[in-house]
Amino acid sequence: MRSLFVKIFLWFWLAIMLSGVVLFLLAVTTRSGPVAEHRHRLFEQRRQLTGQTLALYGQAAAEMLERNGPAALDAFSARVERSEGIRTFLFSEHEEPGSRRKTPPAVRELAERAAASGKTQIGPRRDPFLLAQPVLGPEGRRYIIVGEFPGRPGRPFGPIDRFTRDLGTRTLVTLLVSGFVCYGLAWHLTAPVRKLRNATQQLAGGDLTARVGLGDSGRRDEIADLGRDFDGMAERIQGLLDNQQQLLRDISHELRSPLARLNVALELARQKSGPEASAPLNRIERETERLNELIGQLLTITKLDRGAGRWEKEPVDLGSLVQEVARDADYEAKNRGRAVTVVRSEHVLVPGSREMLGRAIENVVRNAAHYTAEESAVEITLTSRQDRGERHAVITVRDHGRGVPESALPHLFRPFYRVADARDRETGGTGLGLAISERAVKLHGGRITAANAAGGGLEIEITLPVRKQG
Amino acid sequence: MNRLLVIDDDIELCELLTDYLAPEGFQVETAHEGEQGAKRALSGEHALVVLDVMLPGISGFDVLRRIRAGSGIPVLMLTARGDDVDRIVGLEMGADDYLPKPFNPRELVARIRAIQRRAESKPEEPAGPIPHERLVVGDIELDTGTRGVSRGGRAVELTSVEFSLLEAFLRTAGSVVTREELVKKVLGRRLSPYDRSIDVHVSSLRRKLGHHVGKTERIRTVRGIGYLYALPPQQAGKGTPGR
Repeated sequence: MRSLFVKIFLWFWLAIMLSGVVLFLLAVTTRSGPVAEHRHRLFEQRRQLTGQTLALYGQAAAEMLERNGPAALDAFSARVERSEGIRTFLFSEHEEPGSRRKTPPAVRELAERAAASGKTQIGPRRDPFLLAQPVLGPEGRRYIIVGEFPGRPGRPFGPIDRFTRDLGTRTLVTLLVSGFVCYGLAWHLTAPVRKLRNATQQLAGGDLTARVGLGDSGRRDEIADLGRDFDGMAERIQGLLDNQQQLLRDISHELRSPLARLNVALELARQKSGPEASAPLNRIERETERLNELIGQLLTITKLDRGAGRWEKEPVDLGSLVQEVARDADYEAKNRGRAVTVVRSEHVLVPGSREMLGRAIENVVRNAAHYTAEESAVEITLTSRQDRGERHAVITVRDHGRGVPESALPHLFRPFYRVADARDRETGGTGLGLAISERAVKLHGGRITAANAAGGGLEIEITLPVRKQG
Repeated sequence: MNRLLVIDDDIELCELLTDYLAPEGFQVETAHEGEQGAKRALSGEHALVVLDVMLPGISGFDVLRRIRAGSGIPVLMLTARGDDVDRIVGLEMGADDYLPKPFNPRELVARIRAIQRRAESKPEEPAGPIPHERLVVGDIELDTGTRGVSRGGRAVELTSVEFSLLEAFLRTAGSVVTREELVKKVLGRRLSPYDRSIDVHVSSLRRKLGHHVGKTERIRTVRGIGYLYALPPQQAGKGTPGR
């Protein structure tokens, strides 16, 4: 029951079904309910009909008695009882003329009440059911006929039957219709929520153009408002970030023109000055190069943050790339009494940009070569492994330096982050190398993690997804 | 004729370059705007053009296209650093080399000299008796004297870089040449990581000469090492290509 959709759907459905059941029970059980009323009406009809029938019998019986005597009446009564199952008793002036049968006291009592009131009387019991009806004989004498009917009247057409007949089909139809309506309702309520969620996930995933897009749906409720507010918020965030990146890009570009002039001016100064000025001029040149490097990396990072816009994926041979990077880094490290070696390598093709991947690896390797202890070597391995059904290329770069405090590990890939105590400040570098690596790796759908190795030193692992080539 | 044309909208930079290049033996003319720059480049008064990609008005690429439509004058492009697309597009459009901006002016001079060394043996500049050499490999004929190339008897238009590249390939046909070697021989510099310009030139050469000779690949990429120009089977035994 995690989904809001399922919750709304089930709760509404349950509510509809419950109210249906309650209505049904109310209709069946209460006295004033439609079932009781219907039953009462049926009973009245039945009584009227029975009364009329009984009056007809009574008139026939009275005529039989007056014309043919009590024996004929008895024969008639016996015939009626046999054929219709109704026992009849004819009373005249408080007695039962011509009947030799023993009259039940209840019948006698009812007959007396009918004689006293001159109206139809109903017995208190329902089975057998007694009815007393005053009738007039052919000579105008007054008689009372009492009929004893078997069974309760109206029972065969019981209203309960009408409700319970086809109960299965009715329930099924009700379930279907209400289920359909509830499904629609739940869908209508939750669809924008789902949209909102998708958009939120996209935005969180870095797609700043993600929008809910409820503006044109014409929906006017709180959820739709929420969606529109979200779009407004996303718009603003995108605008702010765009502005920031544009600014960074512009600054970097604008800084380059003076740098270009500075470079030429520096060389002019070299041409015109004696050898004694060459040391400070070299220093100026080095600092200019650093500045230029920093600007270049800032541009790279803004480019990577934008998703690098236009770039084509080509199969990149990681094996040769790692070798190439290691060779260059080793060449530089040799001057400082350190080494860079590839311990293990495989032939792995990864779809992506050779340059971006190269820079990602190079920055990590350079960083490691910088911090590894003198006389030690940075070890690089390239392997591939199967992970959750997908093949991954794994590059590890391990140095033999002092490592990094555990608390600093998660921040290593932040721009300009410096570990305050362990790593000295006079390191050179721009502080952007690892941040660039991280972004480039992410752009290739990979991961980069840092951990302190068992024997000391930092180990950085780059994992890149390998898709089948061709 | 060591007149250079610098097309760049940064006026101060142009002035500095003029000052810097004069003692190096270059006479610099500057243009600060694309239209005028393209017109001057086609005047035939210069030995080389230094062209900034980022120009106001018509872009550096458009200027390059106009120059290439009417002239084979060597062009060195100045690109924004890190923008490989600019670089590759420029090379594909026929620029001879590129230099990321901001550049070291000593590097600029070195590149200009490298381009000029390649162009030195041009016929209109008779620098002594250059032996007229004719290299024939398969369907390709290359004349180092006239700098003409023909394929199956039909002339093929190549830029000076492509010509030098093809020459290097024909001289070593049948064996693998490393990218380092090619960059050194053809572009006159050390191979730096991520420098794909030699590959761009190789792919334009493939496009112009056709990707295959008969059924074999004309220029095969040897992954991680370099390139191999296919030697036709009938020449395979002779070792050096015929003259």
